Amino acid sequence: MNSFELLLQQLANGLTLGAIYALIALGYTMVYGVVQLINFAHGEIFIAGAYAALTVILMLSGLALPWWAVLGLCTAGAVLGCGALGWGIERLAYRPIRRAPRLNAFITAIGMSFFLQNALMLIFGATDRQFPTLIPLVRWQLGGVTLTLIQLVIWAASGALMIGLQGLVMSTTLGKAMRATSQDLVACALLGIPVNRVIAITFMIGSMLAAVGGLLFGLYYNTINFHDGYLVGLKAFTAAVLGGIGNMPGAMVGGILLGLLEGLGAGYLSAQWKNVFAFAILVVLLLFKPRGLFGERVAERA
Amino acid sequence: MAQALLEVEGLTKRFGGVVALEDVTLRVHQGETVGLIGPNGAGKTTLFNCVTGLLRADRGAIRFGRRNPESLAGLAAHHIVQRGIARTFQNIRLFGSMSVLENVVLGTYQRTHTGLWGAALATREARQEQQWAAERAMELLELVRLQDRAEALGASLPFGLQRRLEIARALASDPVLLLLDEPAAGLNPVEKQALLALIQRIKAQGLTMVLIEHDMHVVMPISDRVVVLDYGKTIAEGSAEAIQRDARVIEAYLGVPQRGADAAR
Amino acid sequence: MLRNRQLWVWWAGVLAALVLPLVNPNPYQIDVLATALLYGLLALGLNVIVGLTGVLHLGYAAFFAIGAYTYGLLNLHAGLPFWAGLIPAALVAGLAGVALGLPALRVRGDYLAIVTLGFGEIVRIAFTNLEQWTGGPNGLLGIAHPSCWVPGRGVVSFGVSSAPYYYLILLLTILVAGLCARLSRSRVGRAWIAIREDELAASCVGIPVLQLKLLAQGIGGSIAGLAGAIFASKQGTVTPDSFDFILSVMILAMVVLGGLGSIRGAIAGALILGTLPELLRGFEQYRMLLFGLAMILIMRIRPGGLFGAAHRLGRASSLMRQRTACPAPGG
Repeated sequence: MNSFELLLQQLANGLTLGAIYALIALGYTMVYGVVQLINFAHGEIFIAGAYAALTVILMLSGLALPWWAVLGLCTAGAVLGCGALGWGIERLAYRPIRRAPRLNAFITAIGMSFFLQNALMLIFGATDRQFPTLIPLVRWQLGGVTLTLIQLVIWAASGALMIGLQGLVMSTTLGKAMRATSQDLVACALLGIPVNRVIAITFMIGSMLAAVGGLLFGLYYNTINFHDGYLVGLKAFTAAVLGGIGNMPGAMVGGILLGLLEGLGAGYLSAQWKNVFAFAILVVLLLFKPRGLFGERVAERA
Repeated sequence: MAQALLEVEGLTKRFGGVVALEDVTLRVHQGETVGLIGPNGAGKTTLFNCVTGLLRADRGAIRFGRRNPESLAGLAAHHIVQRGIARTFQNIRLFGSMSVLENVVLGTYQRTHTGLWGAALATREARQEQQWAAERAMELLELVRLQDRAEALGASLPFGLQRRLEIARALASDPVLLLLDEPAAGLNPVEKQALLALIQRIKAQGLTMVLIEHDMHVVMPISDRVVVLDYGKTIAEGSAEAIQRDARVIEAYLGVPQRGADAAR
Repeated sequence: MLRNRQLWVWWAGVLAALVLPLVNPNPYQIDVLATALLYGLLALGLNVIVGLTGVLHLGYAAFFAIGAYTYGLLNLHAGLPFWAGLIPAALVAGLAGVALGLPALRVRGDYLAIVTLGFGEIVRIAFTNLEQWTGGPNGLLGIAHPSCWVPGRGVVSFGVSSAPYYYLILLLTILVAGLCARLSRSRVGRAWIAIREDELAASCVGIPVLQLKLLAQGIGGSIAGLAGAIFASKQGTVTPDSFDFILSVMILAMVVLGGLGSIRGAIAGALILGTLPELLRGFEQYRMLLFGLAMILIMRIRPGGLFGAAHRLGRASSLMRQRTACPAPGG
């Protein structure tokens, strides 16, 4: 493998990871957009999605269904489960304190993250869980670069979801209500937009995207652990900030960019420093562009 | 002509494609009270923000000082306070969880010196300085007639009194020039009269002032000179009476050229 | 008169804390309390940054780590005794605070929170990976315990007994609390609070915002540095995983629980959250779950914290301000 092929291979791996980051980052950014809350529990929702999918797969294991049917059913299970989880979290924990100072909301989100993390650990155990390789192991050699069917599935699924989401937000009534809510919540309420429902739906959509992210993560790495929620969640959050939090295309670009950079970092620097790499990039970027890559510059009004 | 205290020359500020200020020139002389008027969005507050270091102008110069005018470009807001410019805000910005007195004491920050060690060890100088600052703040509270509310929370005061408190806080930095951003906005007629009287008292102490105001009944009696901004440009300048008769001003406020204005010309 | 009563309560608390080990010499409980008080020291330091100045800092554990490693390395390589090691530990951690603040304070609000979080992670991972100096994941071993001169017995090491550390930390906590109380009532402290309430108005009143934020970071950093040195000397070992993000969050939760800017709040918050996991030990595996639940409930029941001023705020800073003036939540 020559150095150019190594580069391409790292980029392909990075793109896969980045696609997953992007799906999770979207949830952070959407929620931040409507209620200015860093939903710290989002990483736990992501890994809960992986566990939900795993549960469905294990339930179906005796039925000898074709792999695509299992994939479809476990996707449905994860998406529905996480959608309900996101809705419940918003309803029970965040809505009651929506009028409180923002630091309170932040601490509540951290408390929720602790709670979910430990709940998942109690339910599914603290050790790594094997995640079945549902998708057939098909490999292609393109030049010196190896691509797998799983990678293609991840790219296609996240690409389709992002395009679909963009369509939803830009051209449906719901999407317009979401964008309007993120501009001015009070005005929206006065105009008769059902703000509470819009916020709840935003949480649900974000959680569903995270669920798909969790499933893809499980399929790609084949093991999941309750701790992954925190670390991957943090990375995805970094990606959202990288793109400018509150900005949806920014979250997609930020996720993919972070994945690519991590891929390169793992390939060319040591893997040990991989995690520092993501944060260092973030810190340096924010120092030069304090509102992320695509964040709007808001002039402070006197 | 005497050297101006504040000299704004050719100031231009854009926000994206919107021109907030275009080639604005403004001279304020020592002891003068200048009324700055103009329709909403004319750039008045932007001008204040440029002068007080909250915004950086794209072009133009701001000089301050009577004997040795100094450029204010690039200075941080607190350095500009140090040079002797204080301001108030259109939408009052008090320190809500602090008492009325503490709000004013904070205004003395640039006139006091206690540092970390003085504060930590509560040295004699630190205590004396604290005492001085509190006394100075009480004097100013008397000036704005708030001496009885010194211990109240800033945020608990009625709106009209909050405005006065903000003025007292601005005065606590011993400014040479005071910039008042719509001090009468939201006040009822009684409060407006009281505010006018307060501004007169401050004026009598010889302080130079620029005030942004919509209400002509406030601007006219206290302004030595009125400057009119519209769409970021200075469109008229002169005595209060002259401004009230100026056709361009009437047009800017009412939108269409007025027949009465044409006739007046 | 209220001040007098408060002071009286303070001294009663201090007295109770002083005699406690004599009344109840259970070393395990004393150790839990010593650890909770160490959290109190950390909460006091973070309170300067978050509570008084309003800078949301999510990487505070990094300063604690820097203090611990500074003393650990100086002790192991230069043989520096504990008491002399306190000074460089505080100094280096304080300088780290300023050095981080210098570039980072250009960034605002939630973005700053993330920069500080990133800083915390970078420091921890760096201590893990710089094996030739820090011993990597295994950390530093064999750091000297403090020792002091006791009449009739000469120089005695604190060793692994709990009570001496308890008294050391108690003393330092009282000292730092007193210092913080003085600072918060001074010209400097008032300016910090002004920045928290309204940064822009503060700068227009003449307060050098950046300089004061750096000062707060420096002081907050050095307090954590002190705590770090004590921690290192108490444990005898320092490992990087003691300084993870969860610790930063815990300290933040203590400050918020106590009430932003409140000194007794910071200590009370630390004592409650510091002992809560121990009190919940009976629930074994459920205790962190309950801990998370407790955080959520406390924020809901007492949004201003135990001793907070938040409930009496009219309008406030970016940190304290309501995110949005939402319509009444319901249905």
